Amino acid sequence: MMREPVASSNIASVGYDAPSETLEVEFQNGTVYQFYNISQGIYDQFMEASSKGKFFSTYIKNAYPYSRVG
Amino acid sequence: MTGSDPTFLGVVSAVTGATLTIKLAESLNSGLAVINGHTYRVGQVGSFVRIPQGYQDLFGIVSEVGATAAPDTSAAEGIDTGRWMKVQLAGEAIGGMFERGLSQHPNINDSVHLVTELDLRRIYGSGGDDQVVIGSLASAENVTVRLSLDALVTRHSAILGSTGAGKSTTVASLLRSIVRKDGQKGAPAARILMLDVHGEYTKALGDLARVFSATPAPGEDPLFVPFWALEARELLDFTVGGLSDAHEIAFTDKIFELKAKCLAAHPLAGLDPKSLTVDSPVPFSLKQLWYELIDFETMTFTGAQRDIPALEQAGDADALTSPRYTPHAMGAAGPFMNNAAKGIRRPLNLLRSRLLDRRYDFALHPGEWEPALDGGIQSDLDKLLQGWLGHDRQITILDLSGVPSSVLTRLIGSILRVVYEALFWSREKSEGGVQRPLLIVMEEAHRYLGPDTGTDAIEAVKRIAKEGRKYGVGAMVVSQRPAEVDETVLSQCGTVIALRLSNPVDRSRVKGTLPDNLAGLMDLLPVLRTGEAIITGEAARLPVRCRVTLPSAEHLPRSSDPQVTQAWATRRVAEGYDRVVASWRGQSTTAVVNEPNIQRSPLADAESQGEGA
Repeated sequence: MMREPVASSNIASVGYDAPSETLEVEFQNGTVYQFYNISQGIYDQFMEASSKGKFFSTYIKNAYPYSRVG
Repeated sequence: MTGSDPTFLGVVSAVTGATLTIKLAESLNSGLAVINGHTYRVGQVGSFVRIPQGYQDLFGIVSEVGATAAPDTSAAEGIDTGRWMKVQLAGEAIGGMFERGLSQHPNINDSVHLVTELDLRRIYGSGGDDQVVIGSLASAENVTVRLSLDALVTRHSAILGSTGAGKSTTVASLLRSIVRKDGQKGAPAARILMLDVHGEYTKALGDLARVFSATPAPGEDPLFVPFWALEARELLDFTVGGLSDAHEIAFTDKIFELKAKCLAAHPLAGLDPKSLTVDSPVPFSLKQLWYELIDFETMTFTGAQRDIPALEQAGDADALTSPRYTPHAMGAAGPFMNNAAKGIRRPLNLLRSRLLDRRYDFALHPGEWEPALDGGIQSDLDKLLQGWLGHDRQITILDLSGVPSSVLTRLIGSILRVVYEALFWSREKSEGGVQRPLLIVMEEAHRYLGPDTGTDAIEAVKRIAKEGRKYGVGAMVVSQRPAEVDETVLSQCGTVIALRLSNPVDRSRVKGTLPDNLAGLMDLLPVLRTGEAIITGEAARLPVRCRVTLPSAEHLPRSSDPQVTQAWATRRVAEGYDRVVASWRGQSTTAVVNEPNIQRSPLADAESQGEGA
């Protein structure tokens, strides 16, 4: 999946696959996680959020199933 | 059998497949034959010949005429003039019955005869009920050409010709003779729906037709196509454009929910709530759909369970204003955004702008068919269909001249869909297409049936072309650019009426619809006179070059060429370009700059009472 670099103190890059509704997040420490069942709306809001880290911890972390992929 | 018979033309000198070479007799050097007082021109390309074979007569069409190029084989004495013609065999007559196809070939030296009016009567039958007159033979004006109405309607037809070749006149004349208003045996229950892209036919067929127009003039009815009669997929394509699967589900689920709600509130005859589908033609409000979806998208929540909507100000579905919620915040206290939102704000914005766009009013705000927010409607589809299909006149003209070309394809696709679905599902009823067939005339078909004009209209027409015959829906495709009309549609047209066509690409497309041995006939296409047509296919017993009957002057379509010389020669009168602009801005040919504002008051005159106007 292609990930776009983002400006955040915690998150390095974010990618999204619409057909499978999968969000992929790379953290600053180099680990990569995939989150499932993320709707396009959430992703759009996430990319617009001024603070990616805050949005991530409020809406995505602990709210969707995930697995570590790298 | 030779010299004394005035119909004698010559003898067969060579037979190759269905092609015959014929030596012409000397008696015909004048090029004219007078039979029973009628003059026939001999050896005209496109005319017919008859070859008697005992009980049978073979019939063929002259495709080529020449001199001294025929092989010098043994010919009957006295008739070898060095002149020959090539004939394509087309059919045979046994007794009085004419049939396409051949059971035998002629022999060398069989005599060949001119086809007289009497023979043509045999070919065209005695003018049975299903035969309509379209014109007269180009080579013999006293012989009328008839087409089989049954085959013309059910097997579909195409009328093709360059601009100015007389297409509109042909269509008007053909429809007029189908309806036969003045004839004793008319077709009072004929049902013809005409898609009139240029608004030409109101004048030509006005006395036989009811006119619906997107920009109605006095005496015409407004044209509406209620959006809720369309299939959900088509409607979404039209209003919000391409959607991903997940987004489409969000819309179709909501459409289904609204339709179910409307059905519960206003039960509709025939529709069991259990068999309701998202495609059922059940009214629902698009505004309500927009409001409920945008509300869900923008909703934010407060409270420990994140379940109390943080509504600041409710919106208004009717006025298309969105509700306002407290913006979500990142902190632990919220408000929080709706996690289940589908991310369809962009298509919803598109839907809103479509709803506000007046160009789409014919479909999205369809007058008395526009549902209220709860799905209640003033009039149901039966009134719409009755207007289009069930009135006292035989022809319905849908005048689309005021429709912007960007929405023309969609509009036509929607109309065809509504009409076809209605006739398809009513096939067991007396109003259905089987019991009362419908002919749909599609003017300027290349504008909406081209390969790159979108899919709505093409899909609908393809469906009619492929299966319309079984359900009593026939298509008549009219176009000046056959090369740009979808090939599937054109190939399904059983009858081709080809007028003058000069473009080689167009001509080859028309040729392609014909069997090989008759393709030579189509080489005549560029030299046909205005109003002359070559008719081939199911409805015509034989391929024929025909001069179409001109309707009377007051019934000519409004498409005749402007009289340039005459118009330029007259003295210039005072002009007002403000009314030109008014018409342009108003998108209406009858717009005025200054409302006359005439005060009308009833006159209490003793003399006027007797008139009773």
